Amino acid sequence: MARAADLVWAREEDEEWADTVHVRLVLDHDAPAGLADEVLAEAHQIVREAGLPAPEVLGEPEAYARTVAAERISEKDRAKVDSRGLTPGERVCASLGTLGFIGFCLCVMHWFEDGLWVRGSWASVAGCTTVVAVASLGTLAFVARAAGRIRGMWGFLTGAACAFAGGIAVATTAPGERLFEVPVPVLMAGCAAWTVAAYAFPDATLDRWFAPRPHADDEQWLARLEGLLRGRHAMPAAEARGHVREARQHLSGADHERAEDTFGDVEVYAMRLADGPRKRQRVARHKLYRTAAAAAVFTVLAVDETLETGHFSGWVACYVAAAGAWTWTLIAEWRDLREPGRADKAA
Amino acid sequence: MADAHTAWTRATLPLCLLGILDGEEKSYGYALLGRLADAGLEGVKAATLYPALTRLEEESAVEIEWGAGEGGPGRKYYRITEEGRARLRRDRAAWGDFTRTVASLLGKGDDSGQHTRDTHGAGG
Repeated sequence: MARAADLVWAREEDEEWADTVHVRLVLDHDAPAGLADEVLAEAHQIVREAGLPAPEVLGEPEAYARTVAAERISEKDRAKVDSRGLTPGERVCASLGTLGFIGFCLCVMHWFEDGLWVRGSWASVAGCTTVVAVASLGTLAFVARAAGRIRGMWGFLTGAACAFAGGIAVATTAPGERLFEVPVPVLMAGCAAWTVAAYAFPDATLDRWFAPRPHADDEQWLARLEGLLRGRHAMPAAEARGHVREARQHLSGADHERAEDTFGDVEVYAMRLADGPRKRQRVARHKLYRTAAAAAVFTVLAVDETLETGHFSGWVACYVAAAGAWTWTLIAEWRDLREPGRADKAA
Repeated sequence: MADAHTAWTRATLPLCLLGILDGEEKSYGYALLGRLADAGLEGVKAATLYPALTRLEEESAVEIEWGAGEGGPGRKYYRITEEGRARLRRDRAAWGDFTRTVASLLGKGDDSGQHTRDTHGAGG
């Protein structure tokens, strides 16, 4: 079987179509290795025999990828990914990798602005450790939520709050005298190593940490169902509780059968419940929240920088541009959410 | 063969549910499961039924209403909507056409599958 990259498409639009299907399968549906190659080889043959452009023969690439995912990726595999197409392990690796990359960028900025050497003190070490600990625990909280572990999320958030409070207390009381000096490239190498390690870490191992354990009783199974519906599938709390209530009601009338025997694997059942037409709307709404948060962060940074420097510096311009771009995206997403047909036409 | 039945049942479940709900004022999951089993669709599990009902609700073919449970948690009732009735009429007609087409392709072999085996034998 030919690899997707080796296929030669007759038209440019066919090639674009194939690339979109490939990307959507891998990113949105976490397609197992080899499936995209197999699907595109089949599509290539059909398009060649039909002698027509791929979108005309096989439809829109996003819809084609969705159909392939629904028909050829097992429910068990599809149930493991969240609304952004990531498993918990992939989320951890991506988040920690991004954290390392941000650290690397900050080092570069420090090098340009303040020179080659970084002076360290007990206070700065405590401050940096606090930032890394809070960011890592915050990341794990989001991952736990996406894995349906709502209590785990609160545990990590509590840990992040404690780390923040403790870190601030230590950083403000620790001596600020120079303790050591380290060249920026060493820190950059550390950040690069962190990033590479995060991406190289086998995410299947991390997935096992977040995988559901055998449920001791039905209440645990039902709690997990609610957690998965809310966390992994972005379902509103009231709607998720309605499904749990209905499942509990069914169990009470079904001669006290076990939840796992009646409804099967909790991850698969949650995915089935969440896989309806409202899924796209839920995902779009969550995307809107993230965009709004990014726009707010850059607006605050722009205002803060302006107040601190007292004039319109280059940094303020960067923050304003970023805030403007996010706000523009926010407006576009909001309009798509209000008029779903418009987004479909654009897609 | 069991796999084929499962796939057929899953594909036609929404239509069957609309058909049952069209004949009743309202109903709930456990009762619908019983109705399906009584009609001969014993393979339908709760794990398939509730997602199908949820999808029908999201497609506005049915509406939900919470009522008091019998000594337990509240009961979720499903009621067919006008949109659901229109869909049922459309799908019923389409199903008739579809079964006629499939029947014309299947020919008149006996139930044991002898016809199919003979055809394959002749072809091979």
